[in-house]
Amino acid sequence: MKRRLNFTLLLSLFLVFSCSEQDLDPKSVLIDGNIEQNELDSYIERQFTKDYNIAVVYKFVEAESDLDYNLSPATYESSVRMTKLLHYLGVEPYDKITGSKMFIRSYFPKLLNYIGSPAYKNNGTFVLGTAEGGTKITMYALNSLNANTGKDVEFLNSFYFHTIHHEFAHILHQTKDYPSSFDQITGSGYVGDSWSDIYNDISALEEGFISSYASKEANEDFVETYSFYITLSPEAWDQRLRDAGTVGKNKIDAKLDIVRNYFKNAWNIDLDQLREEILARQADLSKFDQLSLN
Amino acid sequence: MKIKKAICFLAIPVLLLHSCKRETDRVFEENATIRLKDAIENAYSVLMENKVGWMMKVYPGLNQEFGGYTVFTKFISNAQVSIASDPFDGIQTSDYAVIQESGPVLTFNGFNKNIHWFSEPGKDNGGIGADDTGMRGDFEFIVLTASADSIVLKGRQSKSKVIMLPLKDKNFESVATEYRDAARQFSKLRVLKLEGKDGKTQSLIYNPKMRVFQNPKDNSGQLLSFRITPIGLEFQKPYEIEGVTVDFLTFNQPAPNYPNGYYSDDERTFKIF
Repeated sequence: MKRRLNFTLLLSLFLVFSCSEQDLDPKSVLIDGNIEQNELDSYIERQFTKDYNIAVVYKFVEAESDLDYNLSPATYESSVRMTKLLHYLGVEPYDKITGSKMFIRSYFPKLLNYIGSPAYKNNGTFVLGTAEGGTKITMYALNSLNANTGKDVEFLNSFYFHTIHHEFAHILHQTKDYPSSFDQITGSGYVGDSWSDIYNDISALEEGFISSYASKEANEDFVETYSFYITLSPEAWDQRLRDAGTVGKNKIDAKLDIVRNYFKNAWNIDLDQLREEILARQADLSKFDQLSLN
Repeated sequence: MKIKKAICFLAIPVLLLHSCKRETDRVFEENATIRLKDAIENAYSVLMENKVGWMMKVYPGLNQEFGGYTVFTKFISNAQVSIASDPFDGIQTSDYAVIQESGPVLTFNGFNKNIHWFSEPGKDNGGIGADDTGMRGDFEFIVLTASADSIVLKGRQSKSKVIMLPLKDKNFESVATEYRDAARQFSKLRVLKLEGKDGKTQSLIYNPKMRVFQNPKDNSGQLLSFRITPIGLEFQKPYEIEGVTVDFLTFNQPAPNYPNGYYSDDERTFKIF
């Protein structure tokens, strides 16, 4: 009895002394500065963040950049041009075809990161775009975008928009997978990381790949077929098919059929309508004001 | 036995009281975030309060192997800075910020040729340094100290120290023009020659793309890294040339034997032209 009493006293002492209350500091440890907003900040907030829940990081942020490369920030002017072009060529066509902003809001990467210089490697090659986990696209070489290149459709596609549609398509097929029959068309032809050593653009076409990078693996092949089809003019696409020869053309046609059906069935998107919309906008580029932020 | 128990009962509360003392003397009055916020606010106000502008002596690279340059900055708001530099004509305005990292970091986060030229890849800077790394300069700097008299920065990549000094007497535009004109005058010297105290002339090892030279008489192969000012050449540190230790060479106006002028020590023991 005595022992139980001692134990109870001891326990009470522990409870009393170990649980004293401390007042919370009313000041938050997270403090935001009050930085002046410019016209581009307001435009991004209005046209991307509010409508689509997308952030555009146009000022250099080291934590968002690839530390393996020596990079420069983007100029303000090139950032304005890219942001407006992105809305015009990369976002609005989907809104129009799907009939609402919800498709882009739901699936488009949430963070777009601009870098002014290309990401030069020490072997003389450079990277133009990367994507991470379906949530972020980094676009390089923005400082090459100016009044002249901004109206050059081929430049815009090869430097920026091919990458954007390519990465977006990855998110879509990772959300709803495409039929496995796609993988079988050139099943043994995929070569992994050796794609740049084994194929050039013509030999890749002859094997049934729309680009040499498409030969890396089926997922890349799928998104390359998609991205090239919706951004290339019918003439440029047909030229690729002619370069592919009969065997290559038949394989690419078969792949395109699967891509077309997939977008219709999985996303209710008519690929040809989407392509027409993008091509019409590309044709009107000379009339598009790339600098006004009103 | 009873005594032992009594000691235990007395000792336990004492131990509990002293082992859980929560009040400790603070090293700093405020927590780390508040102090960092204050340091950032101080950096912003010091940068912007100087309405005339600042001068930076920039030696890009890990060992100052590309020479020295003068950069002028005027912080016109808490997001915009105007920058001029002696290699380029004109003034460009771009974005900047003082951000929170392990300390306050001044980042020139919008492209401006006048500061990013030093960090651009060689492919983009006119072929100075390696294609992928260029001059290895910085455009993000840790702010070590910031006061009206000087701001001491440390390059985030190169770890080199850069001191920003306030422009006092002359305005930003005119002083930048003077430095640019001096650099243009110097660039007329495509080949650098050294006239020694014995009157003999010898070519210096010099690449006009960079602001360093080597004295062929110096067997150590030491690079002499310098900056061009309106009144002469300022060396990054004292060097010995022709037996004279110098950290500055004065510019002398063109003369018949020196059509582009020459640089010399105070006693004119030697001339560089």
